[in-house]
Amino acid sequence: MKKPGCKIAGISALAAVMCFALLAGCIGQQLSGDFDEEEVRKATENVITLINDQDSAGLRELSTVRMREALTDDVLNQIYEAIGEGGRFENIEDMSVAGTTDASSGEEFAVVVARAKYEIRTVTFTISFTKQMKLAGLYYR
Amino acid sequence: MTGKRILWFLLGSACFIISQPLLRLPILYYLQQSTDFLLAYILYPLLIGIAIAFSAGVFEEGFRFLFKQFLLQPARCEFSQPVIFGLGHGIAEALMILVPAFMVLPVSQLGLATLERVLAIILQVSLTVVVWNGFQKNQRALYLVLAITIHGLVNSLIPVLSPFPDSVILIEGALAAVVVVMTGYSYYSKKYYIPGRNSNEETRM
Repeated sequence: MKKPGCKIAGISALAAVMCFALLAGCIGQQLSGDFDEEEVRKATENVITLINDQDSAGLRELSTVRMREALTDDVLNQIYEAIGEGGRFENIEDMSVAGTTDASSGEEFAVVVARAKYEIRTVTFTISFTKQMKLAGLYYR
Repeated sequence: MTGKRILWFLLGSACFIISQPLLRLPILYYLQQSTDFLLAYILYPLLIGIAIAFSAGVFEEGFRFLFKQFLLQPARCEFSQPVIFGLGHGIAEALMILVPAFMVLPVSQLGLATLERVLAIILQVSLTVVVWNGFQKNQRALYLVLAITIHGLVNSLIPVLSPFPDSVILIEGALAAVVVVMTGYSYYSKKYYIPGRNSNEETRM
């Protein structure tokens, strides 16, 4: 009687592993040929450096027109304050890059999730770039 | 309640505690630290939400199956066994969710949450009956897969219906409808079980 039970338990364990393998993010969409992954990673590091340096002009210069309009002094000051609460910047622990296409406009973007370690806490940035490597989205938590 | 029924209840609670707080939730927490996972969640929120929902089904139903297989023999049993085991499972889950909420919010604001937990407890009892039915009918794998599918689909209501306006009412309404159907199914399943003994017969065991 125990053999079929063990077999079913094995199947359940396999199902659990498959479930989490799917969750583990093996499904990231590849960047299109219009993006260079290394360039995207470097641009991400640059954005995080500009935030750490509170360089508003530098951030706006990198941004799309729409993003530039959204990055008002008030918004940027809120970002600097929130990130500053984490203490001194230490390093970027992990970074993942993928491509996505906006459903309404058909425009392609590179999307990056980066975990940045600060003295007190870790901040996760989600940053997106257009094909011209303009900053098109910035989110942190 | 006899000693054996108390044991079934405690095993049900232990089944939830092992499958969720001790195993699945730490694995999910670990995954959430990965930027690959976060990126996939940003790009495919519905797909990842459904996968997370089904992972609950795999863990909870898988462990329910293992508990029945190895700790609650023989396979053929009274109908009260899955009911009491499911109550233990569901009440442990309700306590884990509601106790922290009751500590920070007034009872008056937790009416819907309490109602949802009552429905969830009934669903946990019904899902236990599904897994146990496999043992009564000697079709264990089939009923395990059925329980995982039902559990996964019910949990998927959250990522699927959340984007809609009035999503809370939609989700709770759909949950209530599933619970009504599953309760009817559980009642119908009573015939697969050994008829319950009265208390005098139990004393003689």
